[in-house]
Amino acid sequence: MELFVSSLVVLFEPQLLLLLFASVAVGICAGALPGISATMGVAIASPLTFTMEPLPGLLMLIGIYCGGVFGGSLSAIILGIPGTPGAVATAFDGYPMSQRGEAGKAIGIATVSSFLGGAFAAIVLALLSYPVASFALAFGPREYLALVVFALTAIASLSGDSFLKGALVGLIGMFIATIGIDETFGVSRFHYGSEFLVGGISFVPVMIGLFAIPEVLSGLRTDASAITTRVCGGGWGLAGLGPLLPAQLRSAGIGVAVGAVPGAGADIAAIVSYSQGKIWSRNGAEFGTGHPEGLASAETANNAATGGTLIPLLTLGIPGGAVAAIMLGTFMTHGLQPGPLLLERNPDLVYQIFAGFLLANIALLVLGLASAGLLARVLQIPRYLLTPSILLLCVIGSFAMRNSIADVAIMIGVGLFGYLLLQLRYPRAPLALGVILGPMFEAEFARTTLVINHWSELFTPISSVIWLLAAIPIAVPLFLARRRPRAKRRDGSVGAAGGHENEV
Amino acid sequence: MERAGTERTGAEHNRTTRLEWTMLAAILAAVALLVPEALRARLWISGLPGPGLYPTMLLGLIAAVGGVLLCASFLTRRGAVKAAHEPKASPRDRAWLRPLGVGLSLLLFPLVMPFLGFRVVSFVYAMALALVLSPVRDLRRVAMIVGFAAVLAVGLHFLFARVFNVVLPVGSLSGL
Repeated sequence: MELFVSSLVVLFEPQLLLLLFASVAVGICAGALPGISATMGVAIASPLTFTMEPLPGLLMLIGIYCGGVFGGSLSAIILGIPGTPGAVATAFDGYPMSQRGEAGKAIGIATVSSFLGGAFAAIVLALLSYPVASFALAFGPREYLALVVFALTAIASLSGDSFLKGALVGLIGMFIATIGIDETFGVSRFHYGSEFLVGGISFVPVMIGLFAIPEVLSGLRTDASAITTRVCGGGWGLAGLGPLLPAQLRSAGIGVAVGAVPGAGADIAAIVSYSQGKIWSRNGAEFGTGHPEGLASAETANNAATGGTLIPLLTLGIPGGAVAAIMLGTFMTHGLQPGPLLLERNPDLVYQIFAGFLLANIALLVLGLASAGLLARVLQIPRYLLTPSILLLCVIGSFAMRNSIADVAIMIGVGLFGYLLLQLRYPRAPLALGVILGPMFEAEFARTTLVINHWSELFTPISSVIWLLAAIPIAVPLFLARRRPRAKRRDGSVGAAGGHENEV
Repeated sequence: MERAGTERTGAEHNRTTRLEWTMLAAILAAVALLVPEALRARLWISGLPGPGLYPTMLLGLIAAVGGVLLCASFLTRRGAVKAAHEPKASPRDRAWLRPLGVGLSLLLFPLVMPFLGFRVVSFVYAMALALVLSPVRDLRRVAMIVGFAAVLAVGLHFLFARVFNVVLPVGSLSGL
């Protein structure tokens, strides 16, 4: 801890602080643009680090990474377009809040939650890196399979009134993800001779089409001149944070643990945390309708996961994701090899990175809160100007990922399908979950079948705990559904309950 | 994310039900078309799950769940308003035409962008859509919209092409 504090002091140099703030600001701008992910921002900036000293270079990448993950949430809250996969769960409650005229409050909650998640991750980095890394490394195919199933069970909590509708949409999402080359055998599936389909369907156009287009189109059904968009803080202040703290602490723990598992990033962390929040919170039934706790659950976890991804890289030299791999490249360019030896030979550098991660989150807090009011005013742009702007962002965002016009067509197709789902009151979120988690489920399912001979071997100590946790999102709604009619009969209040419509 | 249910008229309810049947039937038809392709990818290879097994399982589940939802929708149809008593379509019932038109107009991008380039198509599209959606169309407003569309198209091009190195389509006809 002493080393951590002394490292913090070292970083209080004007130049380093300025660099960190500028990197976070650039990351926020990049993440807020659909199609430009945090990973893309880090990749674009990485060549700049080759001519820099290792510490400023790595701090710059960390700043862009933290800012990018947070920036994705801004477009999710303001426009309903998750800028990054990690911001999908943020849109579930952030966008409805924004539609209610509480965009400023939503951005404020997202900012503070992101900071808390990041700060928690920084403390874990400083104190518990090794135990967390060894826990993450104990993950084999069986544990990964259990983790993916655990994340998939979020479909149950995102299905609203009809689990079957959610399941159908989720299955369609999982099927969409099977298009292209199979990871295990290298066989191309469902391409029908199209070169584009051999490469598979990218997640970005699906995400943009699914969340942004239906909202824009359904907004056109109402009379634009009758709409007055309010932008307010909704009486939100520090006092409003108190009730969110338990959810934020739980989500921070989930975020760091999931983020530390190689291959499982901010997207899975946010989905798992949101799903768990819905179960354990007293306000779980209101998740998806613009509840601050739902927003805090997703936002805390996705930023905590950014710290989690650094744990296996810095302690064991294993890059757990794309950003960690780029950082590994930066380390190696400077003749440094992350892992146990780095901590032995350059403890100062490692702890300065940990401290830099904390400072990046403080920069995020300052920039986020300072710009919340201004960003929320985007919603005051007249609809006749805002609609073309959002649609152009959707087009360019879906094109940007692979420079492919076919991705634009995919985005439009998914957008029209999403609009149909919205009109028929089918939940759309399970489709996004299916597309994100489908490939991982298939790969881990195939790997697991290679290592087990009998289904009973599926359960290791870690996987058993995860399977148990995975059963909760399915069991709790079923249990409540069975209890509700009995309770109603007992109270003689059948028909009195309004039945809160909780579609996501 | 979805909007909580507003009151639906009888005609709207019937149209929604028919739309749901059409969607579910289309999903089941798509499953029927995709199953042969999934089976062609082989279900098992040397006793292990082949590349076709997982998609076949998914398609089976989609068919099962879709079938159940279709049956359930047929059974609950009894409670719906009889077609004979449907009130005539009100202007509100036709409100879906505008979003559908805007959604389909987006297809211009993949169809025309290779010939005219991103800057030209985005300028024309933003200008046309803003003009359609604007409640006022006097000369001042039109000039403002043209300026806005130009700044938006050029600004987005600069941001993505110059700052983020995204190679945006240049039109084979326009050269822009």
